[in-house]
Amino acid sequence: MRSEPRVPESVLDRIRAPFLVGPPEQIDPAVIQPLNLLLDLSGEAMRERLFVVQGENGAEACLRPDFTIPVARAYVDEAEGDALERHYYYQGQAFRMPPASGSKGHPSEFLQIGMESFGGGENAESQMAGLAWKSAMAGGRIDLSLRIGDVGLFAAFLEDIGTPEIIATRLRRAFTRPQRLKAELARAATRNPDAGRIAAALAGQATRRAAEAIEKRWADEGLEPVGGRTASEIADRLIALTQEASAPCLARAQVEYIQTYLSLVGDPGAVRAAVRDLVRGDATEQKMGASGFMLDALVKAGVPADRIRFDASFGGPFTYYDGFVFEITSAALGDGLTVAAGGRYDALLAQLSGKASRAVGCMVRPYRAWNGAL
Amino acid sequence: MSAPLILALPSKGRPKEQTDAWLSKAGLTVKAAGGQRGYNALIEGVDGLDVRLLSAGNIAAALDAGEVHMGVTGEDLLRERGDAAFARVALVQALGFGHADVVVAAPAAWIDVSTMDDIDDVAHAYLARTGGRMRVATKYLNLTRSFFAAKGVGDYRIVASDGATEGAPAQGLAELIVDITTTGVTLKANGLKILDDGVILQSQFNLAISKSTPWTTAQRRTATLILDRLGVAPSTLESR
Repeated sequence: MRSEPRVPESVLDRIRAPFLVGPPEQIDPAVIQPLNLLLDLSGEAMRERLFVVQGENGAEACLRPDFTIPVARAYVDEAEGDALERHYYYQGQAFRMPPASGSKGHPSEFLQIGMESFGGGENAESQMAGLAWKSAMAGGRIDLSLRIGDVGLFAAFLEDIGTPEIIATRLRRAFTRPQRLKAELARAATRNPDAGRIAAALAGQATRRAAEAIEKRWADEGLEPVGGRTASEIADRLIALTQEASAPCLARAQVEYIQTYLSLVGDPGAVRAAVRDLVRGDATEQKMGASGFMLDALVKAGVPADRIRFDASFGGPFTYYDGFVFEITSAALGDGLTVAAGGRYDALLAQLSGKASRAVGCMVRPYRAWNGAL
Repeated sequence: MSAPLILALPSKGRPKEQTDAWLSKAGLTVKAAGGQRGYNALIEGVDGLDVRLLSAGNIAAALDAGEVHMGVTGEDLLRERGDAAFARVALVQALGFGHADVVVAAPAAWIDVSTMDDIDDVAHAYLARTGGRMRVATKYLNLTRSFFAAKGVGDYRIVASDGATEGAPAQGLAELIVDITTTGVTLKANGLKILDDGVILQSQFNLAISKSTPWTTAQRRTATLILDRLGVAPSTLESR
């Protein structure tokens, strides 16, 4: 399937309606987006899903695979450094190569409706999930469920079980990449063998002396300092590795706690109880809230409690999500064909704008939401 | 006359010499046919055969597209066409020449880096420092992407490179490269080293057949004759 069949206009009107309350500002970002920026922000793994095009001047560009980055760019241009509150609604075609696993259900051109909300307040996340839910439900499917997760809760959990900072950093970074996370857990459970001979020789030295030693070694061995990293950068990392090697590794119990945490799936109340069984700490308590753990807010936003499940290992469809994340799936379509998704991506906006920012967004795929489709 | 069997062979350099030597050991001699430009050839004593002389890269593409029946090319070039290509092309026999490893190489000056785990670390620091992702120069886009994904390294991006890839880090165009190497001498001359766990593929030249192109009985018979002379079990054709 190259392009998606059309959703009847009356159905599209219903799916769109929840987005028009407000009313938000409508935005229509360019179809053609700069390739390098997109890859820098979402990672090389994205490339295999991109339609890459080349302009006459040779600059590489791509067809928008999603609206989040294009809309965030437009916002940064408009806000010019001010922390404006803005809510943008969009509707348009997005373009993605089908995944290697097969093209069924993955047309390369498809309709997407969504919202990106910048500088919003307290309930922005649950409101966004509630909005996506109402819109997806308007398509007529009765078998939808909402899967939620929180990248920030994982960080809080690591803190509360006393994970050394250097290890916690690695684990947080690996959170959305299961293979990496497994490797990092294995690595954290044993003393780090990386910090070898040279690192030991550098132990306890100041960066400057260590850098001088590295420069001497470069000269002795005739190594050209290619690759852009300075001797002090390398020295700093070696010193950090040495500290890590002498720092305590994760206790067996901690590794088991983390593995148990990552396997938690269920209704948010049960997951909260299970997290509390594992650890009682300030950071997790603060994240999970005194009573609601997002559940109350989501129910208030219109999602039935029995359709919500919290998945502790869920980090969202893109690596740039860094807080609350969600996706809506249909039992009939299966987990691979997400009907709607979204989450918080403060860091991505900060990277674009160069200052602390707040950003939440969601998208709905009308054709998948429509119960008249296959 | 019915359509001939099309066999694609390397057109120049060491691969051509080694392919010719391998064929002549089996008593098969490639002779240029007509035309001065020498893109077509034949094998003495074998009828119904059209030999095309192409670059190894073009042979891989032609096998994948089903434009030729059989061909001699590097496994690296076929693998780079993605896993799906192996639904259309089958490796029949490794030929014992054209050995080359596809490797990940980093600056030798990075004395703190020896594994892909280190790369993940350094790439992350690079992203935090510059706001951009560490660049990997390569012509092997697919092999690089799947290898980095298997190692769980995500904070990088590929800079397509069509030649002299090993010079990219020294020229400031990339930090890492993925390229073929036989002895490692060129890498070393460019201030690079292979990572301990950075060998993506140990490649060599292979005889391969296209599974997607239509085969007539006559073409199959010609292929069987050649495979027989080369000492390759013709069952590879039957099982197609």
